Amino acid sequence: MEIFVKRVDIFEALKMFSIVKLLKSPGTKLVVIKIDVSDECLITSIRLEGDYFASNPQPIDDLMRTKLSIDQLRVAKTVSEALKKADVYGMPIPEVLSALKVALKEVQEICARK
Amino acid sequence: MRLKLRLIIDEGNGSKQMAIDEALLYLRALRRAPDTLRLYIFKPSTITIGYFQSVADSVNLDYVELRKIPVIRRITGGGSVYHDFGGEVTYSIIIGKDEIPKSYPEAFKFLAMGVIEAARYLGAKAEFKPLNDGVINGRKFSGSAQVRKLNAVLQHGTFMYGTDVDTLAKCLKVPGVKLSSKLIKSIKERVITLSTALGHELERGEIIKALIKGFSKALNAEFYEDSYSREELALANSLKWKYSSREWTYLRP
Repeated sequence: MEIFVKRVDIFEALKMFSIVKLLKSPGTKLVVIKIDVSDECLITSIRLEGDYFASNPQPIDDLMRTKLSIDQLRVAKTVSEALKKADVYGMPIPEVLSALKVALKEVQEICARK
Repeated sequence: MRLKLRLIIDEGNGSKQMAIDEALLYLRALRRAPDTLRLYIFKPSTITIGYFQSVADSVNLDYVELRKIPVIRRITGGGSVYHDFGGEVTYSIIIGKDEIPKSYPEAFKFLAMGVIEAARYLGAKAEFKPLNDGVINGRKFSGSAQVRKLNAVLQHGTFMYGTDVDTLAKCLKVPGVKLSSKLIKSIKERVITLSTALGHELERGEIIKALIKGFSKALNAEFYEDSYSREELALANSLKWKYSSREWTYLRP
C-alpha cells in the first residue's frame, strides 16, 4: 500500500483539526479518508470519499455523524462493519483500514501534544 | 432468452434526468416499472459527481460558477463527469438483478458493453476496461456507474462522441495521485471522443442509432419505444427538488 499524500489541517481558531489521506491502488478507485477531531480530541466525523461504489451507502453516510473516542480498535471495527454492510466495490478495504490506523496514530500524537 | 426492454430517448436538465433514473430504479425494484434503456442528453451541459465524492475535490467550482454550469450529485458512485449538450449521450439501464450477472465486475461489463459495441459499430477499436471504463487506444470515451436497490440495478454512463475536452478539463479536478497512477499529467491525456478517434465529425442521430444497435447486441435484447408512466413521472417530479438542492449537492462539501 502506498499513501500518496498526507495533509494535516489545523484550524487554530476552533482548536479542531482534520487528517486527510488519499489512497489509489492499481485496479481500485480513489479513496479519500477524512477524520475530523474536536478540541476535546473526540472524532466527530469519518468521511470516506472518492469514486468507489456501494450498494448501500447508508452505513458510510452514518460514519460522517459518528462520534467516537480515539480508540484504534473501536474505530477500525466501526469502519470495517460499515464497509461490510455497504457492500463496496472498487475500494481496497484492507488498505483503507491500514491507512485509517496510520491516520488515528497521527490523531493520537497531535492530541498528546495538546 | 432474449431480453425485452422499453426504450426511451429523452432530453432535459440534470435534475430531471437524475430524478427519472432514481424513480425508475425504485419502481423497478417494486416491480412497477419495466426493464428500461434510456438514452438522454443533458440540456444544458451539466456536471454530475459520484455519490461519495467531495464537490470541492472533484469540481473546479470557480470555473463552473463563472460558466453557470450546473453541478449535481448522483445516487451512483463513480467519478465526476462533464455531460456536454453538444457532444455526449448518456445511457441508463434499469433492470432486474436476476437478469444480469451477479458479481459487480461482470455486471458492470455486461451493462456497459452496449457502448463498446456502439463505438465498434461506428468503426472504433473500443474495449471495456475494468472496473468501469470504455477505452479506445487506452483513452477513456465512456465511464459507467452503478447502484442497486432491492432486486433492481441502475447503471448509467457516458458516451463521448464530440465532448469539448478543453471545457471538460477546466471543469473537473482529478487528484494528482489518480493521474500519476495512470502515468499521465493531465485529464486531457486520459480522455478521447469518438470523433477524435475516428477523425471525423459525428451527428447525435447516428450516435443514438449506434447505441441502440450496440445495446441490442450486447444485451441480446429487443427494444420497444415507449414513454414514462404517470406513476414514474409523479415520483420523478417529487424527487427533482432533491437534485436541485444545495444540501444534496453539498452532502460532501
